[in-house]
Formats: sequence, C-alpha cells, structure tokens
Amino acid sequence: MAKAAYNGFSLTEEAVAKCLEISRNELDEIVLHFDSDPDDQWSLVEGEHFIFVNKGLGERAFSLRGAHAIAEYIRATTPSSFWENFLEFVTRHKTRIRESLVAAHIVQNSESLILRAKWHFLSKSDTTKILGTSPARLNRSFQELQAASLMRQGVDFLDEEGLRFYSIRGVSRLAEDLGSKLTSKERQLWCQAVKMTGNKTIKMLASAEDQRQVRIAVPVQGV
Amino acid sequence: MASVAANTKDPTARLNSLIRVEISRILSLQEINQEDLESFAQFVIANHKKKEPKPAKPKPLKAAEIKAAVYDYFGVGEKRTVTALRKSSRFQMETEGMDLPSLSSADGWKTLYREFVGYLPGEEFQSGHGCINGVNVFQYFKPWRVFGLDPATATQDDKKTAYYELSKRYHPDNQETGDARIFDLIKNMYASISAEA
Repeated sequence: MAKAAYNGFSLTEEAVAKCLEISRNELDEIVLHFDSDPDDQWSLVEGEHFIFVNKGLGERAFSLRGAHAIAEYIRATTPSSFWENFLEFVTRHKTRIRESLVAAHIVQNSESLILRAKWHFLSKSDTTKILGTSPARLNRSFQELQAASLMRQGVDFLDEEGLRFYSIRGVSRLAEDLGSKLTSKERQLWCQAVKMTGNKTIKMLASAEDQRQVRIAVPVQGV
Repeated sequence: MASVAANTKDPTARLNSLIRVEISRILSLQEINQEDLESFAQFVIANHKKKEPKPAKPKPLKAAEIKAAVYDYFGVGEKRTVTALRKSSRFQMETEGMDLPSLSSADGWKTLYREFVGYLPGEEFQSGHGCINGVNVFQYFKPWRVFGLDPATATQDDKKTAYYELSKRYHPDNQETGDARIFDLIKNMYASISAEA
C-alpha cells in the first residue's frame, strides 16, 4: 500500500485499545458489533475511520476520528455503575481521553493558521478536515449561517488571495450547525467535540505560532 | 350636513383602525353585494366610536433575565457566574478577538445579549441615527433586514442594488447624509451576505 494511504491512520489496533483502556479482544468485538445494525446511527467507514493494513488478517489502522468514534460508541452503549459515573464526574478521565483525540486531530490539520487583526483563522481546507465533513456540506452550512446573519466577514470568515479562511468563532458556528444537523451520530458527536475542544487547542497552537514568529523576528531586528 | 362636509375633507380622519381593516377586507372580496354593504354599515355603527387600542409597550427584560439568556446561549449550567461563563468553551470560541464589554455593568450584558441572543424587547424597530429599516446598525448585525432583502430569494444583483442605494446615502462624500461609521458597517454587511461559500 502506498505510504500516502496511511496518512492520518496512525493508530494501530494495539494503540487504540491501550488508549481507550480496553483489551484487544474487546476492541475486536466492538468493531465487529459497531456495524452490526445497519439501521442505527453508528458506522465505521473504511478510509475515514480506519484502513486495512492486512485485509486477509483483518488487521486495521485507525484514524483519530476512528478512535474517537469507538470511544463515543463505548460511552453510548456500555452501561456504567453509579460509582463509575461519579468517578468520571470527578476525574473527567474518559472525557479527557476523547478530548485529546479531537485535539490531536485539530493539531494535525491546523497548518494554515494565520492571525488577522485580532482573530485567528484556518483555511477552508483545514476547517473541512477538522470538522470531518465534505467541502459541499461545509458550503451548505456556510450558506445557512449566512442566511441567518451568523457569518460576518472579517470576524467569522475571511477571503484572502482567493482562499477562504474561517476564524475560531466561524469554526465554532460551523461545528454547532453541523453538530445538530448531520445525520450520522458519530459525525454529530465529532463536531460537538470540536466545538468543545477547538478553542483551547487552536489557541495553544496560535500561542506556539506567535512565539515562533517572535523567535524569527528577533535576529531580523538585530541585523 | 356640516359634519358630513367636514368628513369629506379628510375621509380617513375619523375612521378608527377597526373600520379601516374592515374596509380592506371588503375590498379584497371578489364581489360586493347588498348584504356585504349592510353588514359593513352595521359594523361601522357598532365600532365607529371605539377608541384605538394602545400599542402594547414591550416590557423591558430584567437584568437577571438578560443574564440568564446569555448563560443559556453559552451553555453555562448550574454554576452561573461570570467566571464560569468566561471558562465556558463556547464563550471562549465565540468571543475570540472580540472587545469584551465589562460584565460588572448591565450595559455589558446587554451588549452580549444583542450580539448573541437577539433583539432586546423594544429594540426590534428603532429609529434615529444609525437606524436602517428599523435596525440600529451600531447594535445589531442584521444585514438582510438592513438591505431589505429575503435571504431565501435575494440574488447577487439584488444585494448589489440594495448596497448601491445605501452607499449613496451613507458614503462619507455625501455632505448631507454621509456617515463613515455607518458606511463601513454597510460595506461589511454587503461583504458578509454576498460572499460565495
């Protein structure tokens, strides 16, 4: 398989099981049962959530979205005791695991981050990847938000050199819209998670980028 | 006959809104017959002395109600404090880059309400400086209403025409009605509604 095909599918089954604190067997069972009901809202899509590393052996590699989908599936379908719920409420342990998967995905797709006036913007291409949707669906969401007076030029979006960029607020609004309208439960939950985690992650990236700019600027000033 | 003569000078002067609405209804009928006219005459006899109903004055929201609506919008749950609001992920994302108003004053909360929740009671149809089609452009980002367009049907040409008309009025070069701040806001509104996806 070409190396490019592995891009974004960096998690081995072993790594996913370890990350979600389940055994390999449990992971296999979950993956097997994930698609058992074609009428439910859960699905693992090849090329989006996982790829086969060895189809004969059924060995897969997962994307961060794939791992997140499994985490959400476990949360939705595994009954937990009062004590487990209480522990989660106090420690937010599993929530943090899910958030870290989303944050890592955002970091992987934020190369275009730019600062204009007081707003940080991401390219449309990165926004599409972060929200795990298609350009066409993102366009529709933009048009709906535009019709509802919720997309302000310079604040929510920006067009620069023929390219569209979305601010953190713009991404949040798109995530909100998609999170409530997408048909797939997994996609909805993913967008909602981006909305929750996006700000912290993008700001962290922005801060790192600002510091990098300062480091670049210092020797220039010294010349 | 003197009173009839007085009425003929300004036939609508003494007609209340009930009668005017009834006239509009009758005029919209396909055919008007004697029965309709008699029933209209009866309606006039019964209603011509009735006083105009006073337009209901919108009740202003209490400070607590404004705060509650803002907390709801940003999904702040049980612990409704300014700290909890500032920590809320949605608040941080939506207000990134925004000059946040002071939340120790009622005006600050009103600003957030206008920006994120909607019209404050009594502010939906405003008039005066900065108000276009009832919208105070300094307070609200409502480009479709300001441009008098329906987002479902407006074409790019409609947007351009509406923008051109407003620009003529508010361009700073217009000595009589020009206003640079309003013009900038209109320009931004046009860019916002005319952008392709």
